Amino acid sequence: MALPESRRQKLDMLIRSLAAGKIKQAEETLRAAGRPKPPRKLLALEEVAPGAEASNPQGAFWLIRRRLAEVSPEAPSVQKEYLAVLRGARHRFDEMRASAALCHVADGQPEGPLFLDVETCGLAGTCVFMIGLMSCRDGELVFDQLLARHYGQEPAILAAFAERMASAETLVSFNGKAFDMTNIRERAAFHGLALPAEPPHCDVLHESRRRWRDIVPDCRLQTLEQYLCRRRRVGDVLGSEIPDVYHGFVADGDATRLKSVLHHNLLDLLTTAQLLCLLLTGEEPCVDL
Amino acid sequence: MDARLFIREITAEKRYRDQVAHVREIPPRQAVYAECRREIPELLWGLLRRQNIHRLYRHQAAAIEAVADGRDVVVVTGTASGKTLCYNLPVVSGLLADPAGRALYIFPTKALAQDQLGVLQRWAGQDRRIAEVLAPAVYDGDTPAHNRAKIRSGASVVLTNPDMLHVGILPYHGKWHQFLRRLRTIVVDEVHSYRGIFGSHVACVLRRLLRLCEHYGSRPQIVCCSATIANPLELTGKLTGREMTLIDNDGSPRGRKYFVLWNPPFLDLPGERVSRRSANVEAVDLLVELVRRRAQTIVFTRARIVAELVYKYAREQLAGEEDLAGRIRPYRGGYLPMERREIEQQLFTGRLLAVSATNALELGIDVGSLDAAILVGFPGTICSTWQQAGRAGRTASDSLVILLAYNDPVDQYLMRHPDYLFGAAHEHAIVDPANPYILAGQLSCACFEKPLTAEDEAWFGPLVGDVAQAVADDGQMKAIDGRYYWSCSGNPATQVNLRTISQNNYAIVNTADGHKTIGQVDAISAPELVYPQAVYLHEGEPYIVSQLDTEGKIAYVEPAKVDYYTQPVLASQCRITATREQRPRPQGQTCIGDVDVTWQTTAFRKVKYYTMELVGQASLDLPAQTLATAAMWWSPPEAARSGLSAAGYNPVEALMGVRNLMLAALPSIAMCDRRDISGVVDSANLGTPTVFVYDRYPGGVGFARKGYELFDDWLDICSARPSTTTRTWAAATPCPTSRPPSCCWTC
Repeated sequence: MALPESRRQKLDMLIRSLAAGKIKQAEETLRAAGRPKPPRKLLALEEVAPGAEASNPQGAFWLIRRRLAEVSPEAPSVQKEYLAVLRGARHRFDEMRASAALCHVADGQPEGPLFLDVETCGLAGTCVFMIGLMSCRDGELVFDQLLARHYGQEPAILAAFAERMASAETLVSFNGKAFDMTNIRERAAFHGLALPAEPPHCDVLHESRRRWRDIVPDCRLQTLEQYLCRRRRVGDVLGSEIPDVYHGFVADGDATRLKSVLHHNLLDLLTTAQLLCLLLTGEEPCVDL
Repeated sequence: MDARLFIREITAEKRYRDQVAHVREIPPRQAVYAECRREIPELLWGLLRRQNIHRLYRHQAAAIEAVADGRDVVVVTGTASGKTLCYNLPVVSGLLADPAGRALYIFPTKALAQDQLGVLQRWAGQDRRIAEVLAPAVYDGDTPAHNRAKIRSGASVVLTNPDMLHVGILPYHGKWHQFLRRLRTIVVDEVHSYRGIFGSHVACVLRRLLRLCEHYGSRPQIVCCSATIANPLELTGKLTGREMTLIDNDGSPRGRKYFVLWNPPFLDLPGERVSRRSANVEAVDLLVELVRRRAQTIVFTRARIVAELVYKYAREQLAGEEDLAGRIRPYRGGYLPMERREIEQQLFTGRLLAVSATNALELGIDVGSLDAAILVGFPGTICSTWQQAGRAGRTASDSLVILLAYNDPVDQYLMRHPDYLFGAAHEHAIVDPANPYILAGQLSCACFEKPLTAEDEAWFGPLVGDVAQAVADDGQMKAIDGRYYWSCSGNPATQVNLRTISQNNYAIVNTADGHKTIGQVDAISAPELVYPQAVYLHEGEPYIVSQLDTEGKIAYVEPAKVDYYTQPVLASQCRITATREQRPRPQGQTCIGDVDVTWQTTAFRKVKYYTMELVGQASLDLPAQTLATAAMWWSPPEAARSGLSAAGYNPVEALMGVRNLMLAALPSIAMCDRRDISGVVDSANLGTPTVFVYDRYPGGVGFARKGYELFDDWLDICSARPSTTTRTWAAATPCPTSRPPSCCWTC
């Protein structure tokens, strides 16, 4: 059987290294060679995330603003539902059992809630690199993704968020009490940034647990999305891979994979809004298990 | 106890005649008190009076004054001199004045943190007003996740260890920012244990802590406590990066102490004089005599199995003599925390008359002062010797310390040169936080916590830029606008081990009792202690190891009635895996490269109790443990070896002596601890006797490399008139002890 040329080269390299007493180096070289990287096209951030540079006293960052209609084919129906529910039509939820924050959202206008989903460089209180926001403006759901193009822009996105939070009536998140807001608070403290008082915060994870714990296998966002919103993600980036994607983007500026992170963040926001609607209508969705 | 009477009586017996090599009387000392010129709240005086403390020793008063003056302090006084008061008083009075303040106590072991937690809890339990401000809590790897947030926000004194600080607190500084902002005092106790590689890491961890404190706006004061070492100011200065104030005017009283050097007698004919009665057996007999006289005694052994055997034999000898047999217990690492706490308590209250312990009881756990300490074999350092000896010491009566010699060169050397023991300076504790290898790991952690800038040279020294760039070249950091940011996922602290020995433990599980865990053992020692069919002794009770699960890290044992114990047969080797550089020199060929040091339990022997008769042996098939590290090696030329032979030396044995000298001399060149390096003489690798010196840390830390680069200096130190320290280590040669201890033919 003929040896492929690439393998022969590796074996030759191994033999040379053995002769030179550099086994460890050879192992490393081989391991690196074992992962061939196909030549790929570098994609600039502007190409995958049309946005604009924004800035505040903390510095510059990248702001990607998109209307729901630009990103989702389901836009008209989701938006219609959201507006209807938030305007108070079809409220059927049990106010006695709901949290104060959920009641607050129910009592407000569609423009009241600020949806929040942050992406970080890891679990251990590390850098927040993107703050995904969604709110309703002029009858339309609009996403604002505040992206730090490198680690040094974190203070700028935190300051931009602080400004947005100051004018929000309520915050809506999925697990944001334990994760998103905790991270934001810790990182703001690290940078010495003052945050405005937190408005009532409706954590859809907690509400969902209360409502649907017994009818779905678990209350992770994507499980609820699958069973309650009847949507499945295809080719979504794994949460655990997100830090590496961002580090890669900072290292070489290639935004190819960052695109999927931006999309992942949008979907998380959208699903949170849909779940909020379900919570407010009090409808028991039919779940096929 | 009347120590002199005891010595007289016991040496009158025929069996014990001519065994006392030396008796040194250490005179008593009166307590020296001092008025503290800083006010101590009346509330705290009330608490002290309830503990029967009415005045402060002068070192306590001096420490409290220095802390009140805002100085960073290191307290170096004897065992049981009331060191903890030197930090507890200022900390608690600080809390009474400012309840929002915080204190962090760092201990080298979890057990010490638990011990001090108990002390603080008793303080808080005495008075409601103290309890209102003093909320102590241990935060270490054993702290349940659901308690952690509450401790971070609510505890005013957090007790932890350097490893937890490194991997579980500093990387999560965001969750600790309020604590760090309010941190007023950092207490680093048992600071002498932070030396060598471990100490150098801890120095960096403390700098990381202080750097984050500065970031969040605090500048805590530092109080260190240390056992006696030669250079406490230098050590703590390097550990903390601060200029420290030394408090060492020990004002605590002590009674008279008799320090006896005891050499077991020869067993063989006068003409031969090779083997001596076992020091272990001797220890049992002395312990039994002391217990019969109701003298509270601690036996320090160098090995876990010896601690168990001494206990078992002593208990059996005392069987039937009132309740005496029940008033001895063994104590060693590997017992479960609850069991250890119970033994410490029983010793403290006097319920126990004796413990047979390992150096697990050497650090400052408060067991009260005892009448006698028996040291079975020289503990290895002057520091440890005095630490262990310090366990014996009543203020109002005499105490006794007996150092029992093994029949090995170092111990025998000490028996002949008592002045070495009593006259020599304590060892220097060396740390080198600027070691590039250590810095590479620690700067990664620091960078993860807060981006590195040029200003960080103030914390970590002038190498910061170079080392950070080296890490950045591997893609783990990225420089943006003059700052290095951590640029890959994962917490680097999990990849940096502070200690040379891994913290992994095996659980020892009793299959006959519902798979209850009865003890634990560190992963390095497990194959030497709980190999299949080993007799595992726990509180003197024999268990047989039925299975050693190296994957799951569990040793399965069951109780067994056997009349033997087991000894492992160990094999080790050092194999060159890569030669990086070589340099021919006038003294022979020298190389630097990579080695695999492996060791393995290949077999075991069954040894009958008492008679020590060999009743069986079997081979084992256990995986070898490997340390892949950096080494330097040196092959002296043929001419030098034949010269040695001609002078009547065995060349290989002489080379072993040289290796010992080299190991003793390297720390001063490489800025490491003696225990951070090791060496062998081996002919298998190169076909000619070669001295190998390697770093005892995976991947190496640059010590062997330093010796290679400075080889001439190194040999100069070896061939110069060896210092006393060097001489002791050099004495650890296999040469007959009648010869000068060095075997140090001139290099």
